[in-house]
Amino acid sequence: MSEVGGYEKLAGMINVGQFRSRTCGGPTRRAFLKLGASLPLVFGRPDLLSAVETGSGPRAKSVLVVWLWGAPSHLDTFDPKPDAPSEYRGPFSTIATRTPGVRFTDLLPRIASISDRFALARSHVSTQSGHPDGGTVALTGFHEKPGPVQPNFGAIVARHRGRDGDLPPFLSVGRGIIQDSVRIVEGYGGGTFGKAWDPFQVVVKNDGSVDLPALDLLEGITPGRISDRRSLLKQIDVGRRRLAAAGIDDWERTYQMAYGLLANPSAREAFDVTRESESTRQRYGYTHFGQSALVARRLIEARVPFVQLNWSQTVEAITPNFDFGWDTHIYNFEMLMDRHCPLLDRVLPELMNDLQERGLLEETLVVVMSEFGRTPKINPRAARDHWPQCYFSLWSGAGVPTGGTIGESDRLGEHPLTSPITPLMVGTTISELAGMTTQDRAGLNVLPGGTLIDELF
Amino acid sequence: MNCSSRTGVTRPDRGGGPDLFTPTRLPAAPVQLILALLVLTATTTISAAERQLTDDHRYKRDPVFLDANTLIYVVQARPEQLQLVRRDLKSGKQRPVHKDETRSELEPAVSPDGRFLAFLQSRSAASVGMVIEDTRQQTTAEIPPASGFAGMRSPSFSHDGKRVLYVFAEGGRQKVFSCNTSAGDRKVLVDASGICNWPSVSRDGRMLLYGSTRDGNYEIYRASALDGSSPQRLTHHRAQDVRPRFSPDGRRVVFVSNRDGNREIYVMGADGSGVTRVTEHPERDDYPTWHPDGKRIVYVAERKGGFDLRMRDLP
Repeated sequence: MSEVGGYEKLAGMINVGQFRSRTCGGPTRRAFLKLGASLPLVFGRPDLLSAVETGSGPRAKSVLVVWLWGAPSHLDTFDPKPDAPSEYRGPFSTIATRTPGVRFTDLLPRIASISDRFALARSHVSTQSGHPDGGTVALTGFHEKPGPVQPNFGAIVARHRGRDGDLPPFLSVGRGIIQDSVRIVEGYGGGTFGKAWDPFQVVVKNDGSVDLPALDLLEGITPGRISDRRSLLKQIDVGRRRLAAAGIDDWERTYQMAYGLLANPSAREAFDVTRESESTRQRYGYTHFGQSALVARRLIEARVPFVQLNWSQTVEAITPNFDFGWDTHIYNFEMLMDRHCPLLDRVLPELMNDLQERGLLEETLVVVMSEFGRTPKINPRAARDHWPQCYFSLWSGAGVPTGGTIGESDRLGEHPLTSPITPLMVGTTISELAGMTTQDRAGLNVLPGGTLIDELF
Repeated sequence: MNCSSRTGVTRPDRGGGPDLFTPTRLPAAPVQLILALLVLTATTTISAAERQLTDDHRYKRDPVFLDANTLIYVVQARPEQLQLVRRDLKSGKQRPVHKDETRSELEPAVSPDGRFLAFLQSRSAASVGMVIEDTRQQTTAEIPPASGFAGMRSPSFSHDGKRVLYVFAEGGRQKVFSCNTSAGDRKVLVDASGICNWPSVSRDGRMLLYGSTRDGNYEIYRASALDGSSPQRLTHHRAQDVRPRFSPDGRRVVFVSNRDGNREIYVMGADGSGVTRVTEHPERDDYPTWHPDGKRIVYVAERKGGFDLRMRDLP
């Protein structure tokens, strides 16, 4: 490793190449660049992105948000109401968990068997019942309108931490920027910090192969061009224009991040699940979410400060050309039974076990959450609609107390019986566990008025 | 039909079974290695009584026989699409049923004479229609989605192939309906409280089999195929008993249950007697369908994180 910007030092040699290869893991295109020491002189000061001083070590060196996009039914998963009337309770039975007095539906037996490793919060509330708005509130703590849109919790932690090494500090693992059938979620990224603080998108396929869309910025760079300074500068101008067209003003940071990522073999390895044993990959399962979770674990292992692992890109559970989110206005019980819960029940315990066995859980905060819950009362189509008045989250790692519950919902799961947990509290708590103080937040002008979920401290 | 109250977890467990969860870990590496070796040494044969039919490991569901040598089932072709595929069991060749279709299609059903294919088709946001395809005449009839978020489910054919049974929810009750092969003459067959699903008619046309939550959780019921009258509850377990299908001779029922901790396949007599577990694996076994000879089933086995079809002899 070079001391200069973290790039691989090749004694002045510039060795830049592209390849398209490997369908069974690792970056699949434009995924190989070795840059010489001269490049940082072109791309900016090498210390530009050095880590921000974070003071004493945070409890959570990394944060992993498992984003169940589309909003799972809380009654049919982690907050069942078996004694509610038939028009509420749904068809599933309940099973005991390792948390005394807590039962889950029988769709989640493996997660029930590790419930002592997380805290279950059952008293969330949101103020938005639509997906994009609800997603923004859940991920930023604030409404989209009136703007400006606030930064995603990941952007906040990333900016506080800065960049340490060649991996971006905020990565979104899944299939791209989250959206519904109409538009993207404004709160997916940098918000008031600017697009330069958007998450670095990591697109994962079922077989675990990874695509990094940001590397499109490097399209067209060839060894010949790199060795010709005039051509290189011309190419850089093309990249700059691409970024400007995309509304990204911090060209230098973004471009350097892409180069840094590709120039460092150890950074690239973080995305390469082929380095995992076959049995590990099988345990996660050869599904998009399973292999995405494995990539996310590797990124946590590489000490990325904030990873958002997306269940799906779109919310819709069954809609043409959308990838089966948790938005179950129809087929709620069938989709949960046939697909969503078995998949979650396979992947989440593997992820938690893996983090624990590798000693990562002590310093990694894992939060499983969504934008809201679903109607406790079954709708006319024998399914469930949006319900921001009450929903759940799971918290694990980073020393948070586990094996218990935070808050409680009423007998029908309609409202919290205890103090409600707001998205702003979620963001404030995540940032605090990630090492930010009130002063840090004020300094970045983020999460004003936020309070902590006390039970997690 | 009456709606009996559910007492949830405090109800006596007539079927027995574990109250707790299953062990958390999937097979450890050594076990998987042994399984892998077994698969390698036997090619696709898992045992003398079982054969693996596919090996692409993609997410699958809903297999059904078109004839003794041809299966139609659903595979996740893209992250956004469930696709109907047709597989010749002799050659192992498979192809999409609708080559140019980009929308999700699922839950295929085939009429006894193989002439009609019914299936669900995703049309727009949370809106799913049912298509009845006459493969002989190359025509289609359909029940389009109702307004708003709505969709049909679980089509199957009557014994004579003249009517299509399906389920649809209205007023919070998911009912069993039937229509003719032109998607007309729609009638309610079962209107019980809760959620009904997976209707299946015996080959002699007398009995209707379906799942229902009328008693609290998913159980399996048998009723008159003529009008849904005289329902008899066949299963009694607090776990989910789902996806029942009559054997070709009508004497047995194959179904899926998580009564032993995870989703496995069971068979029982047509009267609910003699429940026997067919599969046993820490991963999921689901979507059973009878081979036309009535001696075997095909099902989807989740193994080592992938999903493949297996065919198993039944005693």
